Amino acid sequence: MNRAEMRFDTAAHAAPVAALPKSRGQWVLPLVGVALVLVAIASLAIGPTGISLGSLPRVLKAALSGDISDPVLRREHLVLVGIRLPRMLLGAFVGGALAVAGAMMQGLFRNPLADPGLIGVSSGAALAAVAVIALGATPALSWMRVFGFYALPVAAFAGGLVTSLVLVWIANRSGTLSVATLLLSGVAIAAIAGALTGLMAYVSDDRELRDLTLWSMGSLAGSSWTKVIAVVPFVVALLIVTPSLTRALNGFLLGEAEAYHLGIAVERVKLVIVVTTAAAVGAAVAVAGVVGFVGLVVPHFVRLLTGPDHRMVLPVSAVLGAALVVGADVVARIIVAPAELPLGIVMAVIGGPVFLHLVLSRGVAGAD
Amino acid sequence: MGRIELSSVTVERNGRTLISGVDLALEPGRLTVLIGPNGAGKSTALKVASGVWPATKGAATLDGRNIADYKPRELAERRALVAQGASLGFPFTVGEVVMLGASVPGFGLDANPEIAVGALAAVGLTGFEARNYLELSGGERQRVHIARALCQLNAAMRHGVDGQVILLDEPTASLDPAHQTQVMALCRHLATSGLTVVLVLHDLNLAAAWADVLVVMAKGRVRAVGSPRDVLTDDLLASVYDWPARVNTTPHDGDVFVLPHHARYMASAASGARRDSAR
Repeated sequence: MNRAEMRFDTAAHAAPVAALPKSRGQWVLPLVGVALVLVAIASLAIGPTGISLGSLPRVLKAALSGDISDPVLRREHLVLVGIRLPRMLLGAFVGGALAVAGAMMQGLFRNPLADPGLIGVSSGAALAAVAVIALGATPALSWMRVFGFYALPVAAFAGGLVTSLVLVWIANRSGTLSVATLLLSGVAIAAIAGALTGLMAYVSDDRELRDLTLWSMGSLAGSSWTKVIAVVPFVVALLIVTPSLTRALNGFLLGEAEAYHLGIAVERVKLVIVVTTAAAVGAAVAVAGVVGFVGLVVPHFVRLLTGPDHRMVLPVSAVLGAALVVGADVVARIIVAPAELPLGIVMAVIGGPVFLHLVLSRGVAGAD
Repeated sequence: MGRIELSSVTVERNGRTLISGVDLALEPGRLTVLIGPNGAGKSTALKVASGVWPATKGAATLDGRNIADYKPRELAERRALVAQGASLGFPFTVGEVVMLGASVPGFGLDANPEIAVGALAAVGLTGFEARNYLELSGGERQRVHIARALCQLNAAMRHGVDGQVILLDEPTASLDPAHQTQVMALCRHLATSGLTVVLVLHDLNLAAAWADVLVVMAKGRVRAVGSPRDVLTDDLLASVYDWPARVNTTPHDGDVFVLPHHARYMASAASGARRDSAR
């Protein structure tokens, strides 16, 4: 190191006692992890056919050993492994995917109010999925059958992607995307998608119509292992891609030009973020319909605990989002038992007030 | 190393020509200051030099290689930019913002937080690490962004990169006089250390006092280049700014300073008003 470099070395100015605080909220991840495990157990144990907590290990042991000759045990096994386990897994996936998608969109748009539901991405995904349900038998969309049970997630992914690209296009046109533009564009996109989704109702038969209603409210009632398998590729893709985006997302919070100055290939990364969020939202919508507010509430809460660094926000949001949706689904199942409340309603009750709080405190949060 | 050259650079955006035929050599070890009226193309020239905007015509090179051919990552190791009115809408701590400066993977900054602490010390913000960025004043935020740029270059320097460039767009705009001097002294220090230092300034006296090379721009073109003493004249300022000013020198050491010629301004404004009323 030559003399000139020595003089520029900023570390030489540092007082030896001064140390930068380590990244905040290291304790949060284990905490939300424990929360997820607890609600997961509750989700397996709670339902119309009560399987007590005590019988859980018994059923699991029997399932593993393959000895389920006892009729009571067989019934419990059927409920647990055939119904509740896939439902819990899907809830965890939906929550984690939506929370991570929300956090990434908020980073990309530099805006804590961006949420896949609020800005219309979920509606776009739902429209595409509904089109496959309603028009799947018609020549227009019968080719979708080649995707088998992946047809719904693939269609929802495509719908979400198109919506996201429209939003990025709007953002690029106006330079920066203001909160007002973002939310109003979202309202417009959601209205258009909603109208077209409604139109589908007129070309649907009864069973399809029931599916459609479920879609617009969001529900995990139709969970099955088929759906779990259908989202597995999306889970794997998200787990591989998102960790590589955290630093870029941090850079984006400073602005796109600043991110470029920090060495981020802005256009390429932006595209990766848009495709990733669309995949997450699409897969979530495909198995559970439109579940709002997860992507808004979870990252907001997480940032309060860990600060806005995405290296913490993304993993903690994934776990907390999973816990929130699994928990909300438990509430949806027991609050009007033996009937069941749509998951979307439970989430709206939780998310609406938080959204309102965010809007009202916008000046403080510097959302513009 | 660290020489940026703009050769007959023209930038057109949305059908408007922002700068045309700009030739500019930004030399290592020098403190180069761009001055000129609003809309003269100073920030545009800075954006071309930093690589964020491509030249429509002509070429911008860093050490002989076209800046457009550098990968973002390579450029990030070589140059940092402090933009005008950089903003951040999320509640980062000051320490976290400064650490963002080295968010390029592989810089290993997490292992060397003293770089960030030192960068904050260099801008006079020692002890601000845990403060919420959103609760800082405009001037403090500005200095945090300067520290972030220092952190970026310093982290890369530790990986053996040299020939670095720092570009600052109106870094003193929201600072009080004491902190203006502090930032200018820091820039001087960086230039002495061998960096290429380029600033856009509106304060002609700061520019005159600190610049090695003064570049005067107007209407998208370079009007004059040279030392402050050679470049700053009454006639040049009058024609570039359309503003009557007197360039003076201090009696003891001959430093240049600029004062607006208020009497002449009032007279010309009055005659302008007379012309208007005669119409």
